Amino acid sequence: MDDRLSAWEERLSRELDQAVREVRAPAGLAAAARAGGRRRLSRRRALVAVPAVVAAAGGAVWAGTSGPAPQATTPAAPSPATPSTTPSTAPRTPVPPADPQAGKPAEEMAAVDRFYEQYRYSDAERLAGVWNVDTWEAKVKGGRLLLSGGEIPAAP
Amino acid sequence: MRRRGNREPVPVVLPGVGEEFEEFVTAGSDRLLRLALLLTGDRALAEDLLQDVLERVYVRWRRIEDPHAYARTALARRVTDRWRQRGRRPREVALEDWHGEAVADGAAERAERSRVLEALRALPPRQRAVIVLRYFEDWSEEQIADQLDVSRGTVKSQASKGLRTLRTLVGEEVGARWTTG
Repeated sequence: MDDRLSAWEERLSRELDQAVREVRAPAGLAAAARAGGRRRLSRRRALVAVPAVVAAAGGAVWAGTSGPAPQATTPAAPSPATPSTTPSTAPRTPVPPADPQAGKPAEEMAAVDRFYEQYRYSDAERLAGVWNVDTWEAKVKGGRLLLSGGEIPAAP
Repeated sequence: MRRRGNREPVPVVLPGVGEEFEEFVTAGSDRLLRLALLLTGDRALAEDLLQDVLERVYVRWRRIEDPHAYARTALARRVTDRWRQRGRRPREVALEDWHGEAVADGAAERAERSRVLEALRALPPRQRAVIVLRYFEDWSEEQIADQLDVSRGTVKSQASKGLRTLRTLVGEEVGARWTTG
């Protein structure tokens, strides 16, 4: 009704505050969130870029024959499998040493990354119920399944 | 790009965002996690949701005026939307799991507090969200209505029902003590 709180309401407010006062967020949250945010951006940009790439390459991009694109005049060595993971321009933002980690191994993060390419958080919740695990485990398990060529027993 | 096979995430760095984002998370994540915890009743779920919201904040960083407000609203909306969609109730968890460290008060107070939290958990989802936003976050009814995209009348009725249920569940003696201060 009015915006003034009764004594009971004030007490409730205090109790709620007290109840969670000692709760602290995990230490690596910022790094994990930033890493997750970057993955989202990467996915988004990759999705945006796909039509242009396909058009430019005449649909033959994925054929494996595209080889080293006409980037340099000297085809030095058979380009190693670390093409774009190290941007040549020095990153301007301070990247913490153990960025993708918030106590979560890189393999798990990769699995979750894979999961999010097809599924969403709400799917993870559904799967968590089906598999009787928590949401994080559902994402990891689902991502691993997808990475190994398997299927998740639920449509995205 | 070649991301389909062995997918190493390609780092995308938002220039200038890193430090500010880090500061925001450092300053606000404890409080956001507490909110998520009260909204969901589940520590793991709360952390998961918070990370999800923070990722969204990172992605939209440049377009967000007040990241703290944005994150709170996103959290509340995601929780109520999830409930709205699935009618799902949070899982029950032991209260001790909420805390990373021991709570330094007496057993009686703790017992009383745990009664309040149990009662809170027993509320229907939207009632609980309204109660938490109103009494933990100190949002006005108007603000809650606006942010949750419901009418002010709904907020009032949900708050009123929620409070009534809480009073009943918490118990008369505790209620009487609270009322007299």
